[in-house]
Amino acid sequence: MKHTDLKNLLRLLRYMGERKLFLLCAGVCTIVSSVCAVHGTNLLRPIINDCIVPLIGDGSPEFGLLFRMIVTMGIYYLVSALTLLAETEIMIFVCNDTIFRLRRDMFSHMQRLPVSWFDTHSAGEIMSRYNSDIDVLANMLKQGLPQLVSGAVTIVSILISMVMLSPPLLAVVLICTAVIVMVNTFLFRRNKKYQRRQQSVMGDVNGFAVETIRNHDIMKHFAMEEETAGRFDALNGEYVSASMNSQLYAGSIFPLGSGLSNMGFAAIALAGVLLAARGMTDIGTIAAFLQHYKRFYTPVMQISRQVNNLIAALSGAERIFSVMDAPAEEDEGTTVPSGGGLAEGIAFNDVFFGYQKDAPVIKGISFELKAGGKMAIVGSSGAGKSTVIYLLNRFYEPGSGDITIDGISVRQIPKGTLRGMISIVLQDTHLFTGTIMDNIRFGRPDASDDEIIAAAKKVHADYFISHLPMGYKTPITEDGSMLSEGQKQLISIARAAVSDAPILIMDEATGMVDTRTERLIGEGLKALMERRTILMVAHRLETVRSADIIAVMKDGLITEIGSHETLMQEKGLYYELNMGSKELL
Amino acid sequence: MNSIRALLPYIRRNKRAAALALCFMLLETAAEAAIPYMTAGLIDEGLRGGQMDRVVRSAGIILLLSAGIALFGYFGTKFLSAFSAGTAGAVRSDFMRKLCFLSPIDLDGLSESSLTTRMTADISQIQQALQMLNTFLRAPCYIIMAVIMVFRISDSLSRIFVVTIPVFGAVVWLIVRASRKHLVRRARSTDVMNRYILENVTNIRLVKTYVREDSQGKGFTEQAGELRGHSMKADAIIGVANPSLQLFVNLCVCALLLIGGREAVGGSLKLGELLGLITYTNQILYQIILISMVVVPLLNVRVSVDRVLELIQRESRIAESADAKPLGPGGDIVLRDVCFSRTALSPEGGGTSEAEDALFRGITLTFRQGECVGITGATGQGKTTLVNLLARMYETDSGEITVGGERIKDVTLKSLRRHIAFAPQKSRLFAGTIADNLKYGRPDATDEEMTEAAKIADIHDFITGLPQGYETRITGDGNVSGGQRQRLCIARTLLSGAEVMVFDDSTSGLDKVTEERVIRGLCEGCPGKTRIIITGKISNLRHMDRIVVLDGGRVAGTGSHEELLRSSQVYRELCLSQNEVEP
Repeated sequence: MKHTDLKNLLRLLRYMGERKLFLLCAGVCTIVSSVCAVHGTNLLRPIINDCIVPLIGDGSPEFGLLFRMIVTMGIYYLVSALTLLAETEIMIFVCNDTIFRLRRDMFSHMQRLPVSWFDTHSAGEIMSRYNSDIDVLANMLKQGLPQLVSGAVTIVSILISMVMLSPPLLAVVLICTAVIVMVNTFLFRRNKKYQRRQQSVMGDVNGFAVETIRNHDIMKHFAMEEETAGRFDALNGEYVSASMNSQLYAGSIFPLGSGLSNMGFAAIALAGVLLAARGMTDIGTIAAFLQHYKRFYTPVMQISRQVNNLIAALSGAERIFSVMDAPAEEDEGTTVPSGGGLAEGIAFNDVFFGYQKDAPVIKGISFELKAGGKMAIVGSSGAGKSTVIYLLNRFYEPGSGDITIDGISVRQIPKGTLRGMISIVLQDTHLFTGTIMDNIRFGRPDASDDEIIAAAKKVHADYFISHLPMGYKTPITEDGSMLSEGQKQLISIARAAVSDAPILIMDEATGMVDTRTERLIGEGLKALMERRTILMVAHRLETVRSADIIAVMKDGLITEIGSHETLMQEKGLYYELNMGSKELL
Repeated sequence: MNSIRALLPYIRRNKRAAALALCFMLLETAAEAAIPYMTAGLIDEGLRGGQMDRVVRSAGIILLLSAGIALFGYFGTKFLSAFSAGTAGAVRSDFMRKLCFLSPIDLDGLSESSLTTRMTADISQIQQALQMLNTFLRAPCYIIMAVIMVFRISDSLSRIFVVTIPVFGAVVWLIVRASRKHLVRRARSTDVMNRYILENVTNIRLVKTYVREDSQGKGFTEQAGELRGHSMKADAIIGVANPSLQLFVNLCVCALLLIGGREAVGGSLKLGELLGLITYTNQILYQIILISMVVVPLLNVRVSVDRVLELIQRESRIAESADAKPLGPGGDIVLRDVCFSRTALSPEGGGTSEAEDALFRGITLTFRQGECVGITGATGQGKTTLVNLLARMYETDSGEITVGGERIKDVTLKSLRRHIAFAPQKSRLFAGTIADNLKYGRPDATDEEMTEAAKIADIHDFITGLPQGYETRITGDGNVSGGQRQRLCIARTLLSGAEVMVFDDSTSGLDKVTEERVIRGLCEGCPGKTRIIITGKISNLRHMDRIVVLDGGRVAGTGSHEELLRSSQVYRELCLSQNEVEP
């Protein structure tokens, strides 16, 4: 166990420590359970030695003592089982509760992380924090940890009993156990090597499968079916032999362990018999020893496995804690612009920004946009257009320079207020599972149904929605396959409309939608843009032409800025982009 | 057990391994069942103060039996692994093969993620289940053998087992059943929670824009809370199993001691035998727990089997006729009165009315050999579908398509598709070197041919500008930009050597200047090859020998740019909207 593992374990325990009382009870129950179980087994000795053996050959044996001792044994076992049950159930409660709190805290902290964190962590990675990492942790807490503790207590109490019963037999037990542990460890390590190979080949197999599925139509067009299937067969063959080896080593641990343990069992019986022949022990002790051995073997086998599981779980815990420790978005602002709306305007002052330190995407831009005005940013792809609009609502922070709203630096405005003033229509439509009404309401949770329908009407979305069989209550499925791209766009425009925010930032979509819906979207956007201050990245010629100010960006700088007429007269980049084409990319 | 029956052909392919695994398993079980009996004998022998050599001989036999357990167990595991890995491997191979040979239309209703899950997770489950089959068969065998041994020791005491085994089995069964409901609910709850997280993460910009971080957090807390509830109930029920096993075993031991003790006193049972019975008690009840641990996964694997076999058992709707011949070289492509409806594309989807579902209402068209033809029309008019019909990716509802006079339904699919190469709308590459990708359609192309194709596609300079040039490794969707990817796909199509090349809007991501260069290269640089270029830009169409306009499911006009300006209203409107009014 490394130092970091220990730190994570302690942190985890502190998390569980919220339920200190329960943990204490569980601990007590574990100890009582193990001790009672061992003690019950110890009673085998007097039962056999004092209640059975002396009576052999007796004409009229008196079984009262036997009966009483067995009842006592039964009671010990009963107490052991009940406390074990109590401990199990307590730990189930504590663990599920801890997992719940971990998930909840991880999620709420994640919500405060900056957009850049989400850019650098794939969805798959994030999901596995909540799933496989937490699952492994949960298993460890529910089973691993309790088994380690109870196993340790059991081993200690059995060792003590064995020492008191017969040191020579204990020696035999220890030798057998040592041999078994060594063989097991050896096999375990061998197994890890084969397991790693199996995982790696499985990765190749799966990667090939995913690629084939994704590029299925390309394979069909080039008629490469036979070649693809052939290549896969080769990979598959490798996997079959890799998993055969891995399963062989993993699986043979059991029969080998069982064989050895049975040898040990017989060895103890033999040693016991030999010692009994010399009068150094008796049948009762042998019986107790054999039972103890059975109970001793399992925790010993489990300990090394559980320690490995513990380490694996702790590395998962580390990943979970790294999410919770990631720095949250900066939000130290306290100044609130008065009036709620935008009074004067937005200004960018010599703003620099780069996703990475030494690769600036925006290299010093400045402009002013008066309240109520519309500004369109155009330029070739990669020029940094979308980044500009995301700097306004502080998805990213500029490296240097300042952005102001009504003269107040956006850094000084609390993020909630700032973003409350800005609504957004993105390039890709994003919808949530839920009804259409729910999705539109996402723009303003306290909007009434009427307000939502009014907003939808305003942006020309109401027509198609009310003609759907379930209207506004139509559920949106996970992949949104029920609606066309254009319809989804209209819903997200309605969402922006309902939010009532004075500023709108827009990253215009470039996808091809059918002309009818395209026209509707154009009208919807026009309606949305009334009486708002607009900052947008635009592609459609008509959208750009309608802007008050057009800024042409190239290589992170604004090279031309002005109205459509002004720029056309300049005959610069804008003029060239404009000539003869409908789309400005 | 339909699913098991469906797996039989695959199991049969590995029947030698299965049979050997079974044999060794039985031998191992027999050895293990015999040991407590032999140990009892050893103890009694020793206690009787009998000859040491008898005792030692007993010990020797036990040693051999233990070695037997290890040896038989090892070989049993070996053949079991061969069986499970081999069977799953055969299933996997068939799955992939079927996947390759089915047409895109045959994969309807199966999303990419569903196919991936079936191929990876579901087949994995099958392999694990086959591995667990061993335990499932072994445990009852052991129980039977152990009970036989117990019977040999004492038929009166064996009656205890006859009672306790079913009772304990019933208790375990009840626990399994009771927990099932909650496990299902937990799984569903987990799915809902995961979907919530995923949506939140992919839509994080929206969440932040509308300042919904906290309300999303509250929603999540609810989901997680619900999951906790189901999880606790399931765990609580399952948690009863282990303590009850312990108690049961121990109480049985008590009962044995009581009854067996009296018999020992009475002389009808030896002490060693009593110990043997205690050992058997431990073992038998432990085996019952083992069965319970594998029963649920084995029951659940039916779902995976069904999902996997569903694909394997699909038949392709696009079948090659039994006497299909390979397509000969050259020839015009002729479409005669071709009709096709949209519902054929997606059975669930479809338009809002019957009339709208018909995509093509009688297309008659000829692509002459060596021509450079542009296809245009508004969005949704079926341009991509039309060229897909040429390669028989879909079947026409009526009408006929011939290549060089032969009906495409009469030729082999492979020869047809090698005859027509495709550069699709969404450019996709494979993981590998650039050279691998370019040579995908024709692996034996020479390097000269490859650079020639790259030059026409205007990507050669970019490639040679990279540190490793054509040997640069690229990932499926990574390290090259959209425009570069498109040009690589164009080069790939050019290199394939097909007589007909289709370019489906494959220059959409290029800037004007580059696009112009590439289109000119395609139109002027590939003599003798039939080129079909789908594009919406009039500026591209000007370069082509002939333009076909699709509208309303029919050919609305065909001819050169000038001719169409005069004759086609639809074409004129298209030009107008793009400011391309000059001829």
